[in-house]
Amino acid sequence: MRTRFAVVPLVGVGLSLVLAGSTGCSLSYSSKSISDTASSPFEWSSDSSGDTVAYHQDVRDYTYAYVRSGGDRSAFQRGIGNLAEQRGVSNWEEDESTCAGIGAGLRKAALDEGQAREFARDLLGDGSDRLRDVQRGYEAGL
Amino acid sequence: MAPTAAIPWLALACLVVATAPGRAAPGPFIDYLTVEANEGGSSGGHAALRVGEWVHHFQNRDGLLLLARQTPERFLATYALLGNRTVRASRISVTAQTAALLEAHFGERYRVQQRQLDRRDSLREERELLEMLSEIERGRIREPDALASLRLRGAGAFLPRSAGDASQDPALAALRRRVVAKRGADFLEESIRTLLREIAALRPDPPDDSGVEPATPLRDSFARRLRDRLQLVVALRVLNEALPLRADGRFSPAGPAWRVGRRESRRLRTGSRELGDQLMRLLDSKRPDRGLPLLVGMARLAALDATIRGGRWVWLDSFDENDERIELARIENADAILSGLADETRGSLDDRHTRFLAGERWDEAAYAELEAAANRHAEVQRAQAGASHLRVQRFGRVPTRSAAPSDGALPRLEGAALAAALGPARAAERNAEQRLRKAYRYHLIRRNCVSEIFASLNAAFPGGRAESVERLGGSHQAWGLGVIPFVSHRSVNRRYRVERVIEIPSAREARIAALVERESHLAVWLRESNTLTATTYERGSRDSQFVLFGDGVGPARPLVGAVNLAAAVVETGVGLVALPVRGTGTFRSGLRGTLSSLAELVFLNVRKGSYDYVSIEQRRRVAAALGPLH
Repeated sequence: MRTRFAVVPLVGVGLSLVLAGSTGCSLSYSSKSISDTASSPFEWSSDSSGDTVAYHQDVRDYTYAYVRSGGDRSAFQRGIGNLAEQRGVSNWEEDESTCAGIGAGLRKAALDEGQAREFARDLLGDGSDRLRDVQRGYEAGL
Repeated sequence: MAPTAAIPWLALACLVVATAPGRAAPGPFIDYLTVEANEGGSSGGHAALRVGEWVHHFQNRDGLLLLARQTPERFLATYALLGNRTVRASRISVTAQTAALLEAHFGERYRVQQRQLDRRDSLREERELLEMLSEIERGRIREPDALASLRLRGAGAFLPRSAGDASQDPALAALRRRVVAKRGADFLEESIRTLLREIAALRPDPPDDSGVEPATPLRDSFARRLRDRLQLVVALRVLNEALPLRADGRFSPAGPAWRVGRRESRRLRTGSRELGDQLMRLLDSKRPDRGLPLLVGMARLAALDATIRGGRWVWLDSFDENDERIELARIENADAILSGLADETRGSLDDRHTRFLAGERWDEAAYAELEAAANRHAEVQRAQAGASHLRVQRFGRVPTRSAAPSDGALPRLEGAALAAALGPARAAERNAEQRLRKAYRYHLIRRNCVSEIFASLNAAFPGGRAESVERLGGSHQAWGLGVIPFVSHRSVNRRYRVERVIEIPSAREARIAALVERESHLAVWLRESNTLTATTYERGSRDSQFVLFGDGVGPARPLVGAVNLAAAVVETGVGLVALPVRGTGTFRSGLRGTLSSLAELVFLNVRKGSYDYVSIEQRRRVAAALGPLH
């Protein structure tokens, strides 16, 4: 009798393992729910200010990582383009938030003001209106 | 029950279960989150860590345990509401420095992982391109056919051009005139010729066969350089010929709500002018991938112009051919859900509209939100009018419908050069895949959603586990039974500097609690304990068949399991008989239900049901219940 009772938790653990093993840690709802119709896939929260903060951080950190590691400028531009696209922006060179995020990344990477200005000019062109947004992001820091 | 019915969530959603004596100063905190078991994905439960803006959690995707991040609102909507699982947050008190170190650690880990996945995708594109060029070189495929098999994002708004249509879009014709005035009549044609020469001369680099570490330099690839140039060729052709938008790539809904007023018209004229200026500057940009923003910008310019001319909104269809389609026949109570969705999407559209009009200059992000909101609302309206499905956007908010290029060229490589490039390209792709498997392989016991969180909590600090204990107040051994989420929840509450535990009830629990406030407990319990009479549950499209809910029944759970087992066996049998007609769906659902019911026989509760729809209001309330970390 005692043996039979001891078997129950063991069977439980075994079944848990079988269940968990078949779907363990997988995304609960990998396919889209009808609720997703109501919002964009990259709308991170219903409060768009949260989206803006998160986007700014992403651009800042991506820029920081690029300055630290170096590499092809075109790959960096494409990477920023991918981030911007998730926010609905295709032409990020004209987008204030993106350019401010790049400025913050340059500051995080400890570039001095002259180096940051040179980086921004090289990226956006000398006459771009958005250079001041990079500057603003740089001055605001993190 | 109508899906939009108000539920007194605020009273119910936040149950402070335990409050330990702690420091007087509030925050910062981190939350260790555990999610109860349920049928479906993560059926043994799930775990996550909330740090800063994000909830970080490790998900098993095709055998790889990858770090995902979501806002608290989206995480709770997925697990507590749609997944109908109780979520418990153990709020751990930390210093600002500890929070910053954890945030930096998870941020860097996420970025490196994304680069590794991108590297694998890039190597795959490279190998596929080389194989295609090799087939052309051997005469097995003609170059025009190969070009026609390519899909260029953004091109689908204009291509393929309808046969016999020689019309021009007036807005693009005007933009072309500006280009000609500024850069000369031959600028566009000459730019295209230059690009085609560049394409012919493109050569593959040796494949990037290194691993990805935080300090690994970013690298471009042969395939991506080619795609950029082809996209730019298409964009310049569209401009040069002032191609009109495809009829199936735009829509203009009927009804008075979609008419453009005088104030809007003024705003749109200004916006259209500014967008035109931006496109002129984009032609001079150094961005290698400027073809896509040119295509998207020109399509939007044409749509804005049509809106102004016609006095009625014209939108680009921002759904892509890869977007998921939800068959409405699968959804119980679809009419009520659509009605709720129509209200939500209308509200969202009004909100975006107001925000866009309030802006002083052309703001692409604001317009993109408005455009996406219009698409979503129109999609719901189409479904209400009788469409059989709803499309759900899978990717971002930029309308990037793809199409094959109308013409172009491919790089000219000799057979020997191709053969020399193809072998290493295949090896590099294989190595990248192997490295990914090695770095992220999921294991039920050794590497799972719980173990990776605690490994990260140690790795985040220079002093490793000892420093982690010092900063967080304790540690958890994530092995053996310690990898089970609810075991880890108890362990964290015992060992870590937990200030309090917040319990977010599952969607069904919250609904029942609301009913109990108005009706007798017994009546509610009797009615809501089964799927036949419950008013708080409609069978979710992902749920297998069951009769009795397993939660709140205590020692009677094996009995519940026996009833559910019988239902699941019947479903399995029906699925087996109906295999030729219904496919494997019902049969597999029955098998899943059988396994879950067997677990109920030994007191495990994994049959809770799930929901297909939660309103934005519910999402906001449940996020508010978790509250901020400061």
